[in-house]
Amino acid sequence: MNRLLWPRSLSGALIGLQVLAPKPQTGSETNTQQRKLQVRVRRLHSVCLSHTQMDAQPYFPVQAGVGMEENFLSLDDILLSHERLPVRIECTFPRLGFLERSSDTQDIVEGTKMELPLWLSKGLYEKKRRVLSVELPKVYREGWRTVFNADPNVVDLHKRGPYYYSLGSQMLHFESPENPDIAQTLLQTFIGRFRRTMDSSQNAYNEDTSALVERLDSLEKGLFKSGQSGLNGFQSWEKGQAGQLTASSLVLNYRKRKMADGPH
Amino acid sequence: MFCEKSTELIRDLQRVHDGQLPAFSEDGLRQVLQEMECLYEQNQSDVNEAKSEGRAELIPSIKLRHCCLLRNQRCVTAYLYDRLLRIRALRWEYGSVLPANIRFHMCAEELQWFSHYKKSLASFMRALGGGEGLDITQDMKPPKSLYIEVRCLKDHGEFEIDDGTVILLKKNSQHFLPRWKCEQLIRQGVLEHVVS
Repeated sequence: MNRLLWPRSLSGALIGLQVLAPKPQTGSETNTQQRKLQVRVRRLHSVCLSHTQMDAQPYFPVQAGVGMEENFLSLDDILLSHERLPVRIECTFPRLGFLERSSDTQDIVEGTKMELPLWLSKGLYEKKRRVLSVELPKVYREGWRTVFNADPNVVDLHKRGPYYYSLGSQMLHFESPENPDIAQTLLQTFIGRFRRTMDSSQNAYNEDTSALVERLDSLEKGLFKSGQSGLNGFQSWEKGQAGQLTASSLVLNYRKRKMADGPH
Repeated sequence: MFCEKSTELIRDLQRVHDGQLPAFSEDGLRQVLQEMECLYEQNQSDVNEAKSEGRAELIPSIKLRHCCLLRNQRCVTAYLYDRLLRIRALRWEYGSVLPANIRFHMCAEELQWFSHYKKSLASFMRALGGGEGLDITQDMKPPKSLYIEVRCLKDHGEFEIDDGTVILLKKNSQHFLPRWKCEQLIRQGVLEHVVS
């Protein structure tokens, strides 16, 4: 049952991004693009579904949240919300000066610039009162957006991210005039890179994929893995091995570890 | 910064991503709880001060500590919950008896939870099939025949099948056995399913 969550969450993520992006002008170009995206998402669904049927894994971690939502129990989301953001403190925090290492004052004074994790910035941020203002991380700023708009494929998102999409969606919690542009760039980047991710995941059979995944964002890595397991499942079905009973990968991994520990 | 320890817990768990169960970090958990206690006490005294002396400027700090408390709570809950998911998966992979090296990684409460899970799964399976019972952990892939050809990957000792025959499972020996009897052993890597 849980197995079916992934494809839904993916399309949810896309829908989330689309809702956030400004309404497209009614041009035929954007329409075709959206239609294409729908087709791709549907194709991806089939990939994910085939994966769910062939690869019976009993452990399913809690899925990451969709779009701007965070899933409370998801490990991925917890690590995502630990990403640090540059913020400017707009009101004094008494008796917490020790959190800011560069100064010796007792309080965190107004106007201090420091890095806070996303969860704290999100918790303290208020739209009505100015407690802190969050600055955009570099990769979401105008300069990088131009790069992404020019050719999203050249960017090493693992180095820039690795939570480029999710963190970008989270940035939309903070009010900024640039938000629509950020959302639009996120969506376009995903669309621009998606084809390559899908193609490589569907065609790299029995080969070393580390070069293919090293530049992918964590979301794309998930997609890549789905595609690979779909491909492997299909190949083993073609060879008539789908009905073969196999040892559980969990057990095998445990044994590998035990052997590695053994000689010590 | 606060909450580093709790994130460390999550990171350790995430690093072992294919469902293996790392050792229960009792120490890490205790440190997180200590930090939470500390934060709570500081907040309590600041709240009292803010109330009695009307010092509203303390409120941002109180809020910050409160956020940290909530964060710690979230991390600890997620940590325990994800471990339970992994432990539940172990029941399906290994069957009802876990190897000692895995049990060693579980804390007392988790062992208790595992035995409860085992019991409720067993009573559910007994209730199926019109009182006859049905083992739902069997036949994860649709069976094509009742008997299958298997090869032994390691010495497993004697093994009794339905009709009372005892077979010696010796390394590299090959047998023709009822599928439902050996499915579990295949999953555990003792036998290998030979497809001609």
